[in-house]
Amino acid sequence: MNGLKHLINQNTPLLIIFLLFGIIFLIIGNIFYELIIQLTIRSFSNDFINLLPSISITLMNNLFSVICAILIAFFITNYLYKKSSANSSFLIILISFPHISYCIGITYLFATSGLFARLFAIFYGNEIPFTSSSGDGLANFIYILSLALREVPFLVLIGLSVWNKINSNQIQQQVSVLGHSELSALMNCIFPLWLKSMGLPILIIIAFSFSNYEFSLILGPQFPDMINVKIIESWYSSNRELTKLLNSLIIITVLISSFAILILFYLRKVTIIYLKTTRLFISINYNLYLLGKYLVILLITLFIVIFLITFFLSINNSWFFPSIIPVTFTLKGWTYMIDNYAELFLNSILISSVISISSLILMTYIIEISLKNNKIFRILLLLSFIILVMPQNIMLIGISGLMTRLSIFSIEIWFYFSLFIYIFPYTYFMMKQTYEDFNPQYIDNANVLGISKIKSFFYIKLPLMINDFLLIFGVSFSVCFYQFLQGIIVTKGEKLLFNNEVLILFSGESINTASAGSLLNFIPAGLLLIFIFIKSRYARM
Amino acid sequence: MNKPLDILIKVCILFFINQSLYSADVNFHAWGGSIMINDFIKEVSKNLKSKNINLNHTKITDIAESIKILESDKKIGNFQKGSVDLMWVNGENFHKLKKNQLLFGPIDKIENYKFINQNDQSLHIDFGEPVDGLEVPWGRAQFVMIYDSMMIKNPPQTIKQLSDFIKKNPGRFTYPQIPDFHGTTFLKQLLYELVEDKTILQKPFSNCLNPCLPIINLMTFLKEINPFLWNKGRRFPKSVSQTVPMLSNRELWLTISFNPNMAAANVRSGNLRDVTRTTSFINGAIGNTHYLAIPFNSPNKTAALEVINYLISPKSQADKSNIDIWGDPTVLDLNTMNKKQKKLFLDKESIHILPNNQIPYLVEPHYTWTEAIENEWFKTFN
Repeated sequence: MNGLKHLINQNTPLLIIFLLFGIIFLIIGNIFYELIIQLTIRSFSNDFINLLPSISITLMNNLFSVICAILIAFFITNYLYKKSSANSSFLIILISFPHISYCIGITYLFATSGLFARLFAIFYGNEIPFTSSSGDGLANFIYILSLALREVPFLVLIGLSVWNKINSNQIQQQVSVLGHSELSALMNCIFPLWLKSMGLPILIIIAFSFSNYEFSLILGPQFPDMINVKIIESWYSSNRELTKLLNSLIIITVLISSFAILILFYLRKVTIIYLKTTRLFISINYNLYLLGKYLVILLITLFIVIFLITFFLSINNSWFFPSIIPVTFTLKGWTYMIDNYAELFLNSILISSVISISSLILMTYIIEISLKNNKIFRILLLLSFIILVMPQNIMLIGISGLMTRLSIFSIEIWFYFSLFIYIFPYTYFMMKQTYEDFNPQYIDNANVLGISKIKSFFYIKLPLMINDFLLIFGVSFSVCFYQFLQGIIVTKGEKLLFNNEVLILFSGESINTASAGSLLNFIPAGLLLIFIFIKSRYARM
Repeated sequence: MNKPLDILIKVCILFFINQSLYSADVNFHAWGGSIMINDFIKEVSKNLKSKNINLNHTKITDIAESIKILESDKKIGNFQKGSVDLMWVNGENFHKLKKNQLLFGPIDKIENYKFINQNDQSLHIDFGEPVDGLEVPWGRAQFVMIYDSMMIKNPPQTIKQLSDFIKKNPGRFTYPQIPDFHGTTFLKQLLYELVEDKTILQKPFSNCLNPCLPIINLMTFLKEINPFLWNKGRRFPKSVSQTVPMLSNRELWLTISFNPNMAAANVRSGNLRDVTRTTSFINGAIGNTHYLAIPFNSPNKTAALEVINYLISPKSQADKSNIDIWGDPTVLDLNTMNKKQKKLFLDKESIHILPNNQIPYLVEPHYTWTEAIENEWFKTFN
C-alpha cells in the first residue's frame, strides 16, 4: 500500500503536467483544425498579399522596438550596476504601471494639442493648436520608442541579476590591464555575455509585442493597421470580409512572430560573435555610464509625466488648449469608479490573488516532488515556451473555440484557466531560478538529522525563500490583474476583470472616469510590488 | 426557543421564500462606455427592484461579443439556459440575429407598445430590414455635426459647403476610421447627398449596377477631400469619442455625432467648450432607431419583457431624453399620451442642441450598403 502511495505521489506532477499539456495541445489543435477546415491555400495567399503592408509594418515595428529595448536596457543596467543596484527599486514601480495609462499618457504627450504642443504654445503664443501633418512615419517612431521604453524596466530588472553573475568588475580590470578601453570591456566582453543570458526575457517581450492590443491600437500606425489590431477588429466585426480574414490573420501572426524570434536570435548570435572577434571599441572611449544615466533620467521623467497627465485627466473638469494644467477640478471620475466598480475591483484582486497563489502552490509542489527528475523540468520548460511563444490573442481564440466545441466546463472555469496559463510560465521560470539559487546543503544536513521532507520544507526552505516566493506572487499577481483579452475573447464580456471596464470606458467619452480607473488599476499591483521590494530589498529572476 | 428570535427567523425565511419565488435576474447586454448611459441603466435597475426584477447591466465593448455567445449557444444546443436576457441592438447586428434565428419573438405585444408611433416606418424597419416584432424601438438618433462657433461662423449644411469648409480650413475636420459605426454613417450621409435617386439606397446593394455609380462618386469625393483632412488623411481617429477632446482643444473645429444632444451633454460635463453648437445637413440627415431584443434562449423572457415594457414607458423615455440624464430622443408618439404624460417630455432649452424636427429624417440605407461602402473604403484608403 505504501509502495502504491509512493508511486502515485511520485507521478502526480507528471499527471498534472500532462493534463495541462493535453489541454494546451487541444487548444492549439483546435485552432489548426478550424484553419484547415475554413481556409484554402488560395484564399490565404490572397489575404497574405493584401496584408503585406500590415505584415511588414508589424514585423519591422516590433523588431525595432525589441532591439531598442535591449540596447537601452543594457546601458541602463550598466549605469545602475555601477551606481548600486539598490537604487533600482523604481523599476518595480515602472513595471507595475498599467499599459493603458501608459498608452493614453503617450498619446496626450505627442498629440497636436498635447503637452509638448502646449509647452510650445507658451513661447509661441498660439491660442489654437497648429494643424497636424504627421503621418505614419511619426506614428511608427512613437510606437517603437514607447513600446521599447515600456519593456526596458522589465529587461533591466532581469539584466541586473544577469550582470551580477557575469562578474563584470573583474572583466573590466582584466581588460584595462591589457590596455583596452572601458568601452571595449563593456561592448566586446560584457555585452556578449549579458546578451547570451537574456534569451528568455527577450523571448517574452517578442511574444508580447506580437500579441499586445492596446499599444498597437492606441499608438500604432493606421495605414495600415498592425496585425494585432486587425485580429481583434475581425473578431468583433459583422462585416463578412473582415470576419473571413480572421483565419489568415491567425496564421500570419504565428508565422511573423516565429520569424521575428528566429531573426532576433540569429542577430543575437551574429552580434555576439562579431563583438567577440572584432576589436571595434579597443581604442575608442565614450562615456556610456553617462549615456545610461541620461536614459534613466529620460525613463523616469517619461513615466512621471505620464502619471501626471493621467492624474490630471482623472481630475479635470475642463482642460483646454493651451493651458498646461486643468483650470477646474472634479473628483467625479474617482467617485464614479468607486461607486460603480468597487465590487469588481475587489473581485479582480481576489481572482488574481487566488490564481497567483494556486499557481505558486502547484509549481512548488511539482518542483518539490520532482527535484531530481530532469524530464519534468524539460516538459515544464517546453510547456512554458509554447504558452509564451504562441501570441496570446491566438491562444485565447483557440480557447474560445475549444470551449464551444467541448461545452463541458462553465465559462468561469475557462476564464480562470485562461488567466492561469499566463501566470504559469512566469511562475515556473522564477521558481526554477529560486530553487537553483538555493543552497541544497541545508536540506542535506536536515536529512542527516532525520527531519522529514515536509518539515524541512516548512522550517528551512520556506523561511529562506520567502522573499523570492513573495516576489513571484507579486509578479504573477500584476500579470494576472492587468489581463483583459480573456474578458473579450473567452467570456465575450460575461466575466471581466477591472482592467476590461477601464478599457471599455476609454472607448467612451468619459476620459476622466477612464483615467481614474486606470490609476486605480495601478494601486494593488504597485503597492504589492513596492511592499515586496522594501521587504526583500533585492529582486532576482 | 426564544420567542423574538423565533419570529425573526420566520420573517427571514418568509423574506427569502418571497425573494426566490418572485425575483428574476435579467442580464442586459449593453455598451458600457458612457457613464451617462451606465447611470441611466443603474437608475432603471433601482426602479425595477419594486417589480422584483434584478436588472444586471453587462457592460460590453461591442454587441458582437453577445452575438458570438448566442451563436455558440445555438451550436452546442443550449436552447433554455442562455446567459443573455436582453440586448441593445440594431442594424447589421439585428440582421445577423434575425437571419440566424437567434431572437425570441414577437415581443411587441407589451402594454406600453401602444405609445410607439405605428405609422413611423423608421421605427419598424431597421436598416432596410423589417423588424417583424423581434425587437422593440428604444431610442432614436440622427446624424449631426458639432462645431466650435468661435471658429466657424457659418457651419456647413450641404455637401458643397462641407467640401468648401474642409478645403479652406485644412486639418480641422476628420471622420472616424471605417469600420467604426460613426465613420460608416458619415459615409452613408455623404452618399445620400451625392445620389440623385435616393430610393436606390433603400434597396439591397446588389440592385446597384456594376460599377455602382453612387459608390464611385462617394470615393471620388472622399479622395478629393482626403489631403485636407486632419493629418492630411493619413490617420483617422478610432472613434467619435476620440474627436471630443480634439474638438475641445480646437485641434478640430468640426466633428460628427449620432446623438443630437451630445454637444449639450458634453458641455455640461466640461468635456466641450460652452461655444460648441450643433448643426446638420439641411436637406435631411440619417436617422436611425436602436432597439431592445430578447435572445432565443433567455431563461427569463417574462421578466425581460417586463423590463422592455418599463423602458418604453413615458416616464422612462422622458428620463432618457432629458439632456441631464442621457439626452437620447424618444421613440414614443406624444399624441398617444395624456396631458400628464406629455408634460414629462417638456424639453429643457439648450443652445447647444438642434431644435426638435428642424432637420428632416432620412431612413438608414439597406444594411447591405454598409458592407459595400466599408469594403470600397478599405480598398481605396487602407
